[in-house]
Amino acid sequence: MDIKVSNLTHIFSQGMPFETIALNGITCDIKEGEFAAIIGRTGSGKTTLVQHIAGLLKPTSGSVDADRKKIGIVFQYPEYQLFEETVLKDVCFGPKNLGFNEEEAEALAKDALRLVGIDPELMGALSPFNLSGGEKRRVAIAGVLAMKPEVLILDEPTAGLDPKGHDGILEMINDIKKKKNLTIILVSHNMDDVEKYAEHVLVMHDGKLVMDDSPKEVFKQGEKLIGIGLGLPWGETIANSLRERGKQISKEVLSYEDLLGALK
Amino acid sequence: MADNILKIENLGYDYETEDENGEVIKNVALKDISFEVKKGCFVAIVGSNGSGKSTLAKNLNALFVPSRGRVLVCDMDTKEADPIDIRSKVGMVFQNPDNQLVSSVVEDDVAFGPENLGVDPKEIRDRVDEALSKVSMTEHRKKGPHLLSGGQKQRIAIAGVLAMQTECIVFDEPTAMLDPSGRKEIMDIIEELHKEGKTVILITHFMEEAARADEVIVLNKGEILFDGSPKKLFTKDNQELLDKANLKMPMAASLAAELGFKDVVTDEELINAALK
Repeated sequence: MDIKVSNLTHIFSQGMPFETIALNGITCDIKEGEFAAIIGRTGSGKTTLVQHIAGLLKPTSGSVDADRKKIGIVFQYPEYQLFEETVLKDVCFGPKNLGFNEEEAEALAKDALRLVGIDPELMGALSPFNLSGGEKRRVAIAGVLAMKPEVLILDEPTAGLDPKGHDGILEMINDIKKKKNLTIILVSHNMDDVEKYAEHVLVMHDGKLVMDDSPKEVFKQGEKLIGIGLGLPWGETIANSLRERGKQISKEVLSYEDLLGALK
Repeated sequence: MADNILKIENLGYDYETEDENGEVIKNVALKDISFEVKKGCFVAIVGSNGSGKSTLAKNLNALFVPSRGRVLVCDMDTKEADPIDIRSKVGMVFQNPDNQLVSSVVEDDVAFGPENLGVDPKEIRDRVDEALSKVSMTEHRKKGPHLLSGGQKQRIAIAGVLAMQTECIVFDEPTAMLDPSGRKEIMDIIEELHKEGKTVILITHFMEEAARADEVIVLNKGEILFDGSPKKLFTKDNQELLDKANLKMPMAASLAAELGFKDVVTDEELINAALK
Protein backbone atom coordinates (compact mmCIF):
# COMPACT_ATOMS: atom_id res chain seq x y z
CA MET A 1 0.00 0.00 0.00
CA ASP A 2 1.35 3.41 -0.97
CA ILE A 3 0.53 6.43 1.18
CA LYS A 4 -0.44 9.66 -0.54
CA VAL A 5 -0.48 12.92 1.37
CA SER A 6 -2.14 15.73 -0.60
CA ASN A 7 -1.98 19.37 0.34
CA LEU A 8 -2.40 18.49 4.02
CA THR A 9 -2.90 21.40 6.40
CA HIS A 10 -3.49 21.23 10.12
CA ILE A 11 -4.24 24.27 12.25
CA PHE A 12 -4.39 23.94 16.03
CA SER A 13 -6.78 26.30 17.93
CA GLN A 14 -8.12 27.80 14.71
CA GLY A 15 -9.63 31.23 15.26
CA MET A 16 -8.14 31.45 18.78
CA PRO A 17 -5.37 33.82 19.91
CA PHE A 18 -2.84 30.95 19.93
CA GLU A 19 -3.74 29.67 16.47
CA THR A 20 -0.81 27.59 15.19
CA ILE A 21 -0.31 26.23 11.70
CA ALA A 22 1.27 22.87 12.51
CA LEU A 23 1.20 21.57 8.94
CA ASN A 24 1.11 23.81 5.92
CA GLY A 25 0.19 22.28 2.58
CA ILE A 26 2.15 19.02 2.79
CA THR A 27 2.20 16.84 -0.33
CA CYS A 28 4.27 13.66 -0.47
CA ASP A 29 4.18 9.97 -1.33
CA ILE A 30 5.50 7.10 0.73
CA LYS A 31 5.86 3.96 -1.35
CA GLU A 32 5.06 0.43 -0.26
CA GLY A 33 8.03 -1.34 1.35
CA GLU A 34 10.18 1.75 1.66
CA PHE A 35 12.17 2.89 4.70
CA ALA A 36 11.26 6.56 5.05
CA ALA A 37 12.61 8.94 7.67
CA ILE A 38 11.11 12.23 8.80
CA ILE A 39 13.55 14.74 10.27
CA GLY A 40 13.12 18.28 11.57
CA ARG A 41 13.56 20.38 14.68
CA THR A 42 11.37 20.02 17.76
CA GLY A 43 8.06 21.67 16.86
CA SER A 44 8.55 21.42 13.09
CA GLY A 45 5.46 19.24 12.63
CA LYS A 46 6.96 15.73 12.39
CA THR A 47 4.74 14.17 15.02
CA THR A 48 1.62 15.92 13.74
CA LEU A 49 2.36 14.58 10.25
CA VAL A 50 2.69 10.97 11.40
CA GLN A 51 -0.46 11.31 13.50
CA HIS A 52 -2.28 12.30 10.31
CA ILE A 53 -0.80 9.37 8.40
CA ALA A 54 -1.99 7.05 11.18
CA GLY A 55 -5.45 8.66 11.07
CA LEU A 56 -5.33 10.02 14.61
CA LEU A 57 -6.08 13.60 13.57
CA LYS A 58 -8.51 15.08 11.04
CA PRO A 59 -7.01 17.50 8.52
CA THR A 60 -8.08 21.13 8.58
CA SER A 61 -7.79 20.81 4.80
CA GLY A 62 -6.22 18.41 2.32
CA SER A 63 -6.15 14.64 2.71
CA VAL A 64 -4.20 11.47 3.38
CA ASP A 65 -4.94 8.50 1.17
CA ALA A 66 -4.13 5.29 3.07
CA ASP A 67 -5.84 2.29 4.63
CA ARG A 68 -5.53 3.11 8.33
CA LYS A 69 -6.30 -0.45 9.41
CA LYS A 70 -2.93 -1.43 7.98
CA ILE A 71 -0.92 1.23 9.79
CA GLY A 72 0.62 0.72 13.21
CA ILE A 73 2.17 3.54 15.23
CA VAL A 74 4.74 3.28 18.02
CA PHE A 75 4.76 6.46 20.09
CA GLN A 76 7.72 8.02 21.91
CA TYR A 77 8.69 6.12 25.06
CA PRO A 78 6.17 3.36 24.20
CA GLU A 79 7.12 1.33 27.27
CA TYR A 80 4.98 3.75 29.32
CA GLN A 81 2.00 2.13 27.62
CA LEU A 82 2.78 -1.38 28.96
CA PHE A 83 0.15 -2.25 31.53
CA GLU A 84 -0.60 -5.99 31.64
CA GLU A 85 0.62 -8.54 34.18
CA THR A 86 2.67 -10.50 31.70
CA VAL A 87 4.59 -9.78 28.53
CA LEU A 88 2.40 -12.14 26.50
CA LYS A 89 -0.88 -10.65 27.76
CA ASP A 90 0.35 -7.18 26.97
CA VAL A 91 1.18 -8.06 23.37
CA CYS A 92 -2.19 -9.89 23.02
CA PHE A 93 -4.09 -6.71 23.87
CA GLY A 94 -3.97 -5.27 20.34
CA PRO A 95 -5.07 -8.36 18.38
CA LYS A 96 -7.82 -9.07 20.93
CA ASN A 97 -9.19 -5.57 20.37
CA LEU A 98 -9.24 -6.32 16.66
CA GLY A 99 -11.58 -9.25 17.42
CA PHE A 100 -9.20 -12.21 17.35
CA ASN A 101 -10.00 -14.96 19.86
CA GLU A 102 -7.64 -15.90 22.67
CA GLU A 103 -5.82 -18.60 20.70
CA GLU A 104 -5.35 -16.50 17.56
CA ALA A 105 -4.26 -13.48 19.58
CA GLU A 106 -1.68 -15.56 21.41
CA ALA A 107 -0.29 -16.95 18.16
CA LEU A 108 0.00 -13.43 16.72
CA ALA A 109 1.60 -12.17 19.94
CA LYS A 110 4.16 -14.96 19.98
CA ASP A 111 5.10 -14.30 16.35
CA ALA A 112 5.48 -10.59 17.10
CA LEU A 113 7.64 -11.25 20.17
CA ARG A 114 9.92 -13.53 18.15
CA LEU A 115 10.23 -10.79 15.52
CA VAL A 116 11.52 -8.33 18.12
CA GLY A 117 13.96 -10.87 19.53
CA ILE A 118 12.05 -11.78 22.71
CA ASP A 119 11.55 -15.51 23.27
CA PRO A 120 7.86 -15.90 24.24
CA GLU A 121 8.53 -19.25 25.95
CA LEU A 122 11.25 -17.79 28.16
CA MET A 123 9.89 -14.31 28.78
CA GLY A 124 6.17 -14.41 27.94
CA ALA A 125 5.15 -15.06 31.53
CA LEU A 126 7.32 -12.34 33.06
CA SER A 127 5.98 -8.98 34.19
CA PRO A 128 6.89 -6.40 31.54
CA PHE A 129 7.95 -4.09 34.36
CA ASN A 130 10.84 -6.37 35.33
CA LEU A 131 12.50 -6.11 31.92
CA SER A 132 15.40 -3.84 30.97
CA GLY A 133 14.78 -0.54 29.16
CA GLY A 134 15.62 -1.99 25.74
CA GLU A 135 13.52 -5.11 26.32
CA LYS A 136 10.49 -3.10 27.45
CA ARG A 137 10.69 -1.09 24.28
CA ARG A 138 10.86 -4.26 22.17
CA VAL A 139 7.77 -5.62 23.90
CA ALA A 140 5.92 -2.36 23.26
CA ILE A 141 6.86 -2.54 19.57
CA ALA A 142 5.72 -6.20 19.49
CA GLY A 143 2.34 -5.00 20.78
CA VAL A 144 1.93 -2.98 17.58
CA LEU A 145 3.44 -5.65 15.28
CA ALA A 146 0.96 -8.23 16.65
CA MET A 147 -1.78 -6.32 14.82
CA LYS A 148 -0.02 -7.18 11.55
CA PRO A 149 0.43 -3.69 10.15
CA GLU A 150 1.80 -3.18 6.64
CA VAL A 151 3.12 0.22 7.62
CA LEU A 152 5.00 0.76 10.89
CA ILE A 153 5.45 4.32 12.13
CA LEU A 154 8.04 4.83 14.89
CA ASP A 155 8.39 8.18 16.66
CA GLU A 156 11.97 8.40 17.97
CA PRO A 157 12.12 4.74 18.96
CA THR A 158 15.64 4.91 20.43
CA ALA A 159 15.34 8.01 22.67
CA GLY A 160 16.86 7.37 26.09
CA LEU A 161 18.37 3.97 25.24
CA ASP A 162 22.00 3.06 25.89
CA PRO A 163 24.29 2.80 22.83
CA LYS A 164 23.90 -0.96 22.33
CA GLY A 165 20.15 -0.77 22.97
CA HIS A 166 19.93 2.00 20.38
CA ASP A 167 21.74 0.02 17.67
CA GLY A 168 19.82 -3.14 18.56
CA ILE A 169 16.41 -1.52 18.07
CA LEU A 170 17.35 -0.03 14.68
CA GLU A 171 18.87 -3.29 13.40
CA MET A 172 15.73 -5.06 14.54
CA ILE A 173 13.46 -2.59 12.72
CA ASN A 174 15.51 -2.96 9.55
CA ASP A 175 15.38 -6.78 9.78
CA ILE A 176 11.62 -6.83 10.31
CA LYS A 177 11.18 -4.48 7.37
CA LYS A 178 13.10 -6.86 5.11
CA LYS A 179 11.46 -10.04 6.42
CA LYS A 180 7.89 -8.75 6.27
CA ASN A 181 8.26 -6.19 3.49
CA LEU A 182 6.90 -3.53 5.86
CA THR A 183 6.87 0.15 5.06
CA ILE A 184 8.78 1.97 7.80
CA ILE A 185 8.27 5.62 8.70
CA LEU A 186 10.89 6.66 11.24
CA VAL A 187 10.83 10.00 13.04
CA SER A 188 14.39 10.67 14.14
CA HIS A 189 16.82 13.27 15.45
CA ASN A 190 19.79 11.06 14.67
CA MET A 191 21.27 11.88 11.27
CA ASP A 192 23.64 8.90 11.35
CA ASP A 193 20.70 6.52 11.69
CA VAL A 194 18.84 8.29 8.90
CA GLU A 195 21.89 8.13 6.62
CA LYS A 196 22.42 4.45 7.39
CA TYR A 197 18.89 3.07 7.17
CA ALA A 198 16.56 5.40 5.29
CA GLU A 199 15.85 5.19 1.57
CA HIS A 200 13.72 8.31 1.51
CA VAL A 201 14.03 11.42 3.70
CA LEU A 202 11.34 14.01 4.38
CA VAL A 203 12.60 17.22 6.00
CA MET A 204 10.10 19.31 7.93
CA HIS A 205 10.57 22.94 8.92
CA ASP A 206 7.96 25.24 10.46
CA GLY A 207 5.11 22.99 9.35
CA LYS A 208 6.33 22.78 5.76
CA LEU A 209 7.95 19.97 3.83
CA VAL A 210 11.20 21.57 2.69
CA MET A 211 13.05 18.55 1.25
CA ASP A 212 11.80 15.22 -0.06
CA ASP A 213 14.57 13.06 -1.53
CA SER A 214 17.11 10.26 -1.02
CA PRO A 215 19.41 10.62 2.02
CA LYS A 216 22.33 11.23 -0.33
CA GLU A 217 20.64 14.18 -2.04
CA VAL A 218 19.31 15.58 1.25
CA PHE A 219 22.65 15.44 3.08
CA LYS A 220 24.39 17.02 0.08
CA GLN A 221 22.59 20.20 1.06
CA GLY A 222 24.45 20.50 4.34
CA GLU A 223 24.22 24.27 4.61
CA LYS A 224 20.49 24.28 4.14
CA LEU A 225 20.03 21.60 6.82
CA ILE A 226 22.21 23.45 9.30
CA GLY A 227 20.34 26.67 8.44
CA ILE A 228 17.10 25.13 9.67
CA GLY A 229 18.71 23.87 12.87
CA LEU A 230 19.41 20.29 11.86
CA GLY A 231 22.62 18.34 12.00
CA LEU A 232 24.54 16.27 9.47
CA PRO A 233 25.79 12.70 9.66
CA TRP A 234 28.96 12.46 11.73
CA GLY A 235 31.31 11.61 8.84
CA GLU A 236 30.10 14.61 6.85
CA THR A 237 30.46 16.95 9.85
CA ILE A 238 34.08 15.93 10.43
CA ALA A 239 34.90 16.02 6.71
CA ASN A 240 33.48 19.55 6.46
CA SER A 241 35.60 20.73 9.41
CA LEU A 242 38.68 19.20 7.81
CA ARG A 243 37.94 20.86 4.47
CA GLU A 244 37.44 24.23 6.19
CA ARG A 245 40.89 23.88 7.71
CA GLY A 246 42.47 23.20 4.36
CA LYS A 247 42.49 19.43 4.05
CA GLN A 248 41.75 18.10 0.58
CA ILE A 249 38.92 15.59 0.65
CA SER A 250 37.54 15.23 -2.85
CA LYS A 251 35.28 12.24 -2.27
CA GLU A 252 31.76 12.68 -0.99
CA VAL A 253 31.71 11.79 2.71
CA LEU A 254 28.54 11.11 4.72
CA SER A 255 29.06 8.10 6.97
CA TYR A 256 31.75 6.86 9.32
CA GLU A 257 32.85 4.35 6.67
CA ASP A 258 33.08 7.09 4.02
CA LEU A 259 35.32 9.14 6.30
CA LEU A 260 37.50 6.14 7.10
CA GLY A 261 37.88 5.52 3.37
CA ALA A 262 38.79 9.16 2.70
CA LEU A 263 41.42 9.34 5.46
CA LYS A 264 43.07 5.98 4.97
CA MET B 1 36.68 24.29 52.33
CA ALA B 2 37.89 20.87 51.30
CA ASP B 3 38.96 20.49 47.75
CA ASN B 4 36.42 17.71 47.25
CA ILE B 5 32.87 18.81 46.50
CA LEU B 6 31.65 15.24 46.70
CA LYS B 7 32.95 12.25 48.55
CA ILE B 8 31.06 9.01 48.06
CA GLU B 9 32.01 6.25 50.49
CA ASN B 10 30.81 2.67 49.95
CA LEU B 11 27.40 3.92 48.85
CA GLY B 12 24.68 1.32 48.56
CA TYR B 13 21.06 2.00 47.69
CA ASP B 14 18.03 -0.32 47.71
CA TYR B 15 14.58 0.24 46.29
CA GLU B 16 12.03 -1.38 48.54
CA THR B 17 8.72 -2.69 47.26
CA GLU B 18 6.06 -4.80 48.93
CA ASP B 19 4.70 -8.02 47.41
CA GLU B 20 1.04 -9.13 47.71
CA ASN B 21 1.65 -10.50 51.22
CA GLY B 22 3.09 -7.23 52.44
CA GLU B 23 6.62 -8.65 52.51
CA VAL B 24 9.29 -6.08 51.76
CA ILE B 25 11.39 -6.94 48.72
CA LYS B 26 14.75 -5.23 48.38
CA ASN B 27 16.11 -4.42 44.94
CA VAL B 28 19.74 -3.49 45.20
CA ALA B 29 20.31 -0.59 42.78
CA LEU B 30 23.78 0.51 43.94
CA LYS B 31 26.53 -1.58 45.56
CA ASP B 32 29.61 -0.27 47.27
CA ILE B 33 30.20 2.84 45.17
CA SER B 34 33.16 5.00 46.14
CA PHE B 35 34.61 8.00 44.33
CA GLU B 36 35.47 11.64 44.87
CA VAL B 37 34.76 14.70 42.79
CA LYS B 38 37.20 17.57 43.01
CA LYS B 39 36.12 21.18 42.73
CA GLY B 40 35.94 22.30 39.11
CA CYS B 41 36.05 18.79 37.69
CA PHE B 42 33.85 17.55 34.81
CA VAL B 43 32.79 13.96 35.45
CA ALA B 44 30.67 11.89 33.06
CA ILE B 45 28.69 8.89 34.30
CA VAL B 46 27.78 6.29 31.67
CA GLY B 47 26.30 2.79 31.69
CA SER B 48 23.44 0.71 30.34
CA ASN B 49 19.75 1.37 31.00
CA GLY B 50 19.10 0.22 34.56
CA SER B 51 22.78 0.34 35.63
CA GLY B 52 22.01 2.77 38.47
CA LYS B 53 23.07 6.11 36.94
CA SER B 54 19.96 8.07 37.88
CA THR B 55 19.79 6.46 41.31
CA LEU B 56 23.36 7.59 41.88
CA ALA B 57 22.53 11.13 40.67
CA LYS B 58 19.62 11.37 43.12
CA ASN B 59 21.94 10.35 45.94
CA LEU B 60 24.21 13.29 45.15
CA ASN B 61 21.83 16.00 46.33
CA ALA B 62 19.79 14.24 48.99
CA LEU B 63 16.80 13.44 46.80
CA PHE B 64 17.72 9.93 47.98
CA VAL B 65 19.83 9.16 51.04
CA PRO B 66 22.09 6.09 51.10
CA SER B 67 20.88 2.72 52.35
CA ARG B 68 24.51 1.90 53.14
CA GLY B 69 27.70 3.96 53.24
CA ARG B 70 27.56 7.73 52.97
CA VAL B 71 27.62 10.69 50.62
CA LEU B 72 29.44 13.83 51.71
CA VAL B 73 28.62 17.10 49.97
CA CYS B 74 31.19 19.73 50.94
CA ASP B 75 31.87 17.63 54.04
CA MET B 76 28.16 17.47 54.98
CA ASP B 77 26.66 13.99 55.33
CA THR B 78 23.46 13.89 53.24
CA LYS B 79 21.82 11.70 55.87
CA GLU B 80 22.32 14.25 58.61
CA ALA B 81 22.47 17.69 57.01
CA ASP B 82 19.46 19.88 56.18
CA PRO B 83 18.53 19.03 52.55
CA ILE B 84 18.39 22.77 51.80
CA ASP B 85 22.07 23.08 52.72
CA ILE B 86 22.89 20.15 50.44
CA ARG B 87 20.85 21.53 47.54
CA SER B 88 22.42 24.95 47.84
CA LYS B 89 25.68 23.15 46.96
CA VAL B 90 24.52 20.61 44.34
CA GLY B 91 21.81 21.42 41.78
CA MET B 92 20.14 19.02 39.38
CA VAL B 93 18.93 19.24 35.77
CA PHE B 94 16.75 16.37 34.59
CA GLN B 95 16.16 14.73 31.22
CA ASN B 96 12.75 16.20 30.54
CA PRO B 97 12.58 19.96 31.17
CA ASP B 98 8.77 19.73 31.23
CA ASN B 99 9.10 17.88 34.54
CA GLN B 100 11.24 20.62 36.01
CA LEU B 101 9.57 23.87 34.94
CA VAL B 102 7.03 25.03 37.51
CA SER B 103 5.93 28.52 36.55
CA SER B 104 3.98 30.02 33.66
CA VAL B 105 6.55 32.80 33.14
CA VAL B 106 10.19 32.08 32.32
CA GLU B 107 11.75 34.51 34.81
CA ASP B 108 9.48 33.40 37.67
CA ASP B 109 10.58 29.87 36.95
CA VAL B 110 14.23 30.81 37.23
CA ALA B 111 13.49 32.64 40.51
CA PHE B 112 11.84 29.57 42.05
CA GLY B 113 15.09 27.94 43.21
CA PRO B 114 16.69 30.94 44.94
CA GLU B 115 13.30 31.84 46.50
CA ASN B 116 13.24 28.41 48.10
CA LEU B 117 16.75 28.92 49.41
CA GLY B 118 15.53 32.12 51.12
CA VAL B 119 17.66 34.51 49.06
CA ASP B 120 16.93 38.24 49.44
CA PRO B 121 14.42 39.37 46.73
CA LYS B 122 16.73 42.11 45.41
CA GLU B 123 19.50 39.62 44.99
CA ILE B 124 17.11 37.16 43.32
CA ARG B 125 16.43 39.79 40.63
CA ASP B 126 20.16 40.06 39.90
CA ARG B 127 20.68 36.32 39.94
CA VAL B 128 17.78 35.69 37.56
CA ASP B 129 19.04 38.29 35.09
CA GLU B 130 22.55 36.88 35.22
CA ALA B 131 21.39 33.27 34.84
CA LEU B 132 19.14 34.07 31.87
CA SER B 133 21.90 35.97 30.15
CA LYS B 134 24.31 33.08 30.71
CA VAL B 135 22.01 30.71 28.79
CA SER B 136 21.14 33.45 26.21
CA MET B 137 17.46 33.50 27.10
CA THR B 138 17.09 37.09 28.33
CA GLU B 139 14.83 38.08 25.44
CA HIS B 140 12.39 35.29 26.33
CA ARG B 141 12.17 36.16 30.03
CA LYS B 142 8.48 37.23 29.96
CA LYS B 143 7.30 34.29 27.84
CA GLY B 144 5.51 31.14 28.96
CA PRO B 145 7.86 28.15 29.00
CA HIS B 146 5.34 26.13 26.93
CA LEU B 147 5.98 28.47 23.98
CA LEU B 148 9.67 27.55 23.86
CA SER B 149 11.48 24.77 21.99
CA GLY B 150 12.89 21.75 23.82
CA GLY B 151 16.43 23.15 23.85
CA GLN B 152 15.19 26.53 25.09
CA LYS B 153 13.19 24.87 27.88
CA GLN B 154 16.26 22.93 28.93
CA ARG B 155 18.21 26.22 28.98
CA ILE B 156 15.58 27.67 31.35
CA ALA B 157 15.91 24.61 33.60
CA ILE B 158 19.69 25.21 33.65
CA ALA B 159 19.18 28.92 34.39
CA GLY B 160 17.00 27.91 37.35
CA VAL B 161 19.86 25.89 38.79
CA LEU B 162 22.44 28.60 37.98
CA ALA B 163 20.36 31.12 39.92
CA MET B 164 20.79 28.91 42.99
CA GLN B 165 24.56 29.46 42.60
CA THR B 166 25.43 25.91 43.53
CA GLU B 167 29.04 24.73 43.43
CA CYS B 168 28.11 21.69 41.42
CA ILE B 169 25.45 20.81 38.84
CA VAL B 170 24.34 17.26 38.10
CA PHE B 171 22.88 16.85 34.60
CA ASP B 172 20.83 13.66 34.20
CA GLU B 173 20.68 12.95 30.43
CA PRO B 174 19.91 16.60 29.64
CA THR B 175 20.08 16.11 25.86
CA ALA B 176 18.15 12.83 25.47
CA MET B 177 14.97 14.52 24.27
CA LEU B 178 16.49 17.29 22.17
CA ASP B 179 17.06 17.73 18.45
CA PRO B 180 20.64 18.09 17.16
CA SER B 181 20.84 21.86 17.54
CA GLY B 182 19.23 21.67 21.00
CA ARG B 183 21.83 19.09 21.99
CA LYS B 184 24.66 21.27 20.76
CA GLU B 185 23.30 24.32 22.63
CA ILE B 186 23.16 22.41 25.90
CA MET B 187 26.58 20.76 25.52
CA ASP B 188 28.15 24.15 24.72
CA ILE B 189 26.61 25.63 27.88
CA ILE B 190 27.82 22.69 29.97
CA GLU B 191 31.37 23.07 28.66
CA GLU B 192 31.33 26.81 29.25
CA LEU B 193 30.15 26.35 32.85
CA HIS B 194 32.96 23.86 33.38
CA LYS B 195 35.51 26.28 31.94
CA GLU B 196 34.28 28.96 34.33
CA GLY B 197 35.01 26.66 37.24
CA LYS B 198 31.68 24.95 37.97
CA THR B 199 31.86 21.34 38.99
CA VAL B 200 29.85 19.35 36.43
CA ILE B 201 28.51 15.81 36.62
CA LEU B 202 26.94 14.63 33.38
CA ILE B 203 24.97 11.42 33.03
CA THR B 204 24.67 10.49 29.38
CA HIS B 205 24.16 7.76 26.78
CA PHE B 206 26.08 9.76 24.18
CA MET B 207 29.70 8.63 24.18
CA GLU B 208 30.88 11.72 22.30
CA GLU B 209 29.57 13.80 25.24
CA ALA B 210 31.36 11.59 27.77
CA ALA B 211 34.57 11.94 25.72
CA ARG B 212 34.59 15.66 26.50
CA ALA B 213 34.74 15.10 30.29
CA ASP B 214 37.88 15.06 32.50
CA GLU B 215 36.85 11.77 34.03
CA VAL B 216 34.39 9.00 33.11
CA ILE B 217 32.74 6.60 35.54
CA VAL B 218 31.21 3.46 34.01
CA LEU B 219 28.41 1.88 36.02
CA ASN B 220 27.27 -1.67 35.48
CA LYS B 221 24.61 -3.42 37.57
CA GLY B 222 25.01 -0.87 40.33
CA GLU B 223 28.79 -1.15 40.56
CA ILE B 224 31.68 0.92 39.22
CA LEU B 225 33.29 -0.93 36.33
CA PHE B 226 35.73 1.83 35.39
CA ASP B 227 36.81 5.21 36.74
CA GLY B 228 39.38 7.19 34.80
CA SER B 229 40.02 9.55 31.90
CA PRO B 230 38.12 9.21 28.59
CA LYS B 231 41.44 8.53 26.86
CA LYS B 232 42.05 5.54 29.12
CA LEU B 233 38.49 4.25 28.74
CA PHE B 234 37.95 4.55 25.01
CA THR B 235 40.69 2.27 23.72
CA LYS B 236 40.50 -0.96 21.74
CA ASP B 237 41.81 -2.81 24.80
CA ASN B 238 38.66 -1.91 26.70
CA GLN B 239 36.27 -3.28 24.08
CA GLU B 240 35.21 -6.12 26.37
CA LEU B 241 34.50 -3.74 29.25
CA LEU B 242 32.50 -1.43 26.98
CA ASP B 243 30.49 -4.37 25.59
CA LYS B 244 29.72 -5.54 29.10
CA ALA B 245 28.32 -2.11 29.97
CA ASN B 246 26.33 -1.85 26.69
CA LEU B 247 28.53 1.04 25.57
CA LYS B 248 30.39 1.89 22.39
CA MET B 249 33.49 3.85 21.53
CA PRO B 250 32.77 7.43 20.44
CA MET B 251 33.00 7.50 16.63
CA ALA B 252 36.09 9.73 16.80
CA ALA B 253 37.93 7.26 19.07
CA SER B 254 36.91 4.31 16.96
CA LEU B 255 38.02 5.93 13.71
CA ALA B 256 41.28 7.10 15.31
CA ALA B 257 42.02 3.53 16.39
CA GLU B 258 41.53 2.30 12.82
CA LEU B 259 43.80 5.04 11.48
CA GLY B 260 46.44 4.53 14.16
CA PHE B 261 46.03 7.99 15.78
CA LYS B 262 46.99 7.98 19.45
CA ASP B 263 45.14 9.69 22.32
CA VAL B 264 42.14 10.75 20.25
CA VAL B 265 38.64 10.53 21.73
CA THR B 266 36.86 13.77 20.78
CA ASP B 267 35.94 15.13 17.35
CA GLU B 268 38.27 18.09 17.86
CA GLU B 269 41.20 15.77 18.63
CA LEU B 270 40.41 13.66 15.58
CA ILE B 271 40.37 16.73 13.34
CA ASN B 272 43.70 17.93 14.74
CA ALA B 273 45.28 14.51 14.30
CA ALA B 274 44.00 14.21 10.72
CA LEU B 275 45.40 17.63 9.81
CA LYS B 276 48.93 16.73 10.95
